[in-house]
Amino acid sequence: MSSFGIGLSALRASQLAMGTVGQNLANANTPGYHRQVVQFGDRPPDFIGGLEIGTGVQVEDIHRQRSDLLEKAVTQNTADAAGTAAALDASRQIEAEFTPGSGTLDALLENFFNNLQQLASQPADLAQRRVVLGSAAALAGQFNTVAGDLDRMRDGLDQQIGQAVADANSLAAQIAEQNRLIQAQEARGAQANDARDQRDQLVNQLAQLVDVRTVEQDGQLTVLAAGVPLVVGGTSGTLAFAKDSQGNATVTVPGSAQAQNVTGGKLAGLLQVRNQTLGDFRGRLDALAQELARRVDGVQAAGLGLSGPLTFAPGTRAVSSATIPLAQAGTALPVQAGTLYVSVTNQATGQRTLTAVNLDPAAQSLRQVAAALSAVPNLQAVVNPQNNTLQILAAPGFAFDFAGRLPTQPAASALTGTTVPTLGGVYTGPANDTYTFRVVGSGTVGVTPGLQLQVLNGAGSPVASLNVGPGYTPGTSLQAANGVTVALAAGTANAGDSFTTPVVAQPDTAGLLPALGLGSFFTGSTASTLAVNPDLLNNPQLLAASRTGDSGDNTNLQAMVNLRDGRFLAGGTQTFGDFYAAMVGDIGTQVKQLDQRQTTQQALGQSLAAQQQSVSGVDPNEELVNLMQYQRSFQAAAKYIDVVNTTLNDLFSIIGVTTG
Amino acid sequence: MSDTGTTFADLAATCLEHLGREEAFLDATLDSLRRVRAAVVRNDLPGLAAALGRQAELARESDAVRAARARLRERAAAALGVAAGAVTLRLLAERVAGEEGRRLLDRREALRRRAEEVERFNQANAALVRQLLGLNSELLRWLTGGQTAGEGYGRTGAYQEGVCGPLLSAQG
Repeated sequence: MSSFGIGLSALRASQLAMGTVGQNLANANTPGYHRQVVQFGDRPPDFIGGLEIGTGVQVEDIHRQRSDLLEKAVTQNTADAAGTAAALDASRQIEAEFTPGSGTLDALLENFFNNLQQLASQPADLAQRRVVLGSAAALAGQFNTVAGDLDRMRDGLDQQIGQAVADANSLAAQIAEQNRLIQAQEARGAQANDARDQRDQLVNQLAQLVDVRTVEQDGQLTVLAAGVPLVVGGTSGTLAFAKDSQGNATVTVPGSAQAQNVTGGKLAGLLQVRNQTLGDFRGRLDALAQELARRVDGVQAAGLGLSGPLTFAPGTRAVSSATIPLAQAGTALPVQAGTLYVSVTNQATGQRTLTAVNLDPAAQSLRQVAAALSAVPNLQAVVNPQNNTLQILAAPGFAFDFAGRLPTQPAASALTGTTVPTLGGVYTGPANDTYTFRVVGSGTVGVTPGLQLQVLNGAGSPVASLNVGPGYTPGTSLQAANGVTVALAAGTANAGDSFTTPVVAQPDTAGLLPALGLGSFFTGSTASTLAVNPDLLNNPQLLAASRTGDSGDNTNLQAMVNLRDGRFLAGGTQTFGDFYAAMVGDIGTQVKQLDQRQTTQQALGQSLAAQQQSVSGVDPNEELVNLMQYQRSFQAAAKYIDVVNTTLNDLFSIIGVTTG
Repeated sequence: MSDTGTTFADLAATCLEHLGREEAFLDATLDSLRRVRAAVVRNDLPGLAAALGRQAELARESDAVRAARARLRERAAAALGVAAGAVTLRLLAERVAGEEGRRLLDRREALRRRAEEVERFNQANAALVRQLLGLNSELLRWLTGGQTAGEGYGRTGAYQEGVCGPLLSAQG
């Protein structure tokens, strides 16, 4: 190898080295670019006469400065951070829906109960009744709004998930293309560093969408996304967006219903919020609306409006079938085995009966319930075949209610004397019971000494003992117990004579009336369907303030107001307000946790980026300083070459050699 | 021995001594050129800096050797009766009789071979450095956007101020 040859190899090597420096500098700000470094090596020496003669230098490799472990950590962090960011963004939208403030659900709920409270002080005030109904309509409307917002949010998330899946598929195709390019370049013996950088960049972009694992073999990258081999060499597959039977969004492989387990990337965050957080909050919103409707409707149906008992009550909540047991018929609100007390009033005489109708939703269909109600004298219940709702009608001249009012006459009596008992008052006891009135002694009411009327509860325990002998004026009402009064007309009574009456605190222990929307305050039973019964809006007198039918009675209103403090939700541990506050707290906590997680991941990401930069990044200053130092060195070398030339010329002249 | 013979004998001894210095200097120069070349072809910047440091020393030594050579030529010119520019080692050897003259010719031949090797190496380095300077200048010009990065020492050997472009200027 001549010295000239040695020079050429060095020139080629240096040209490559400088070209690489230029490449590094030109890409200093290119995302995903890895600094490239030239690795030199000695060319194989020649051996001449046993002497080793160097033949110059050659470029052995131009390799990328990268750390596989660091790159994998960056990819993982990218996926985690993207997932958290997506979940945080969506969760913040949910949080905004539930943030307490003016016009939000909690404020409107409180406003509704406050207006009810004000109406209780003047229950016949029509203007205040309209205020109550207006606040109820606003409350129902806000339920509708929030539900609609959450539903639109779900639709938006579905779109984002679909787009992310499409983007992932596009990236997979590009990675496969890079695989093919790299294979082709390296098969020619060329370096494919730039293509590898682009492929790494594409993998990181894919990791922003879905969890990614990569395996490189012979320069070809296999990419597993969501556990699916999405890229194998030069071939790419696809993912698909689908919904399962529960309506959950899923990521599948085309042709398979099997949902893939997406654990990272934007898709993981979107799916988690879409299927879990959003689903949970939508369900809780419905639960709140449903329980509010159930409780308020139950109280409304058990009371009386200003116009008294009803002659017709159309059900507003349907069942899926009128011929299968209610428990299986998809009632909007739950029904349980219990008793419905129906009062029927003769509008001409004022006489009122109280009939207990036993209900078993596990056995009775809507039609059978209708038949049971129709068995009540002067009452008819029919199923509307068009929409499977129940309608109750009173016989002409009669009206009905479900206030559980005492019958004017005992339901059952075993009186052998001539006296006639009359019941009155309003039962104020805490639970449904049966009072039995038993005559002690025999004789004439108001005359015979020792003549008493003993009052026993359903357990047979005496709750009162009333004097109906001397000193009692026949026909005068006596306080029996818990607001119930009794009067005996003039006549005789014999020892052992008795009569009984049910006393009702809860007229509908089965929950049938709200379940079928009979005499209800609201229609609908979910957050998106809840509305104030238009019959009430049209006629505020129907708002049931009373349990007695007296215009000044606010007993039922007070019961409605008391719902505010009732613990009906979360297994009987939370009031409406508590339940809403828990929702607000939970989404706030979730946002905070996601926010903290994002902060942590961002810090980790910055640390990883700094490490990656220290390994793979290009420092333009360093590269330029190197170039300038080379330049100065070459210049110094050139100067010395001139010095040597001058010296040699002078030397050759004395040696006697002609130089040229 | 005549005065003239004594003069040529002394001159030959002085010349042989000087030629030893010239050989040593050429050896050092050759070694330095090899080191520069090795550093250049390996892109070994620290090695290049060290080799260039040695070159600077040799450049200073070169001045001293040239001055000594000039003094020797003046003295030989006077002895030979010719102009200083016409003095050669061969001419001097022809005037020195016997063993001294042959030794002078042998040393001249050895010096010639060394000088030619140094020249060959120097020319190879010159070609290499000139090419690399050109490449580097083009690269700097491209990177900095300047009209020219300057080659420092041009074909005439005169120093040229480098012109740096906006990137370097901006970075101070």
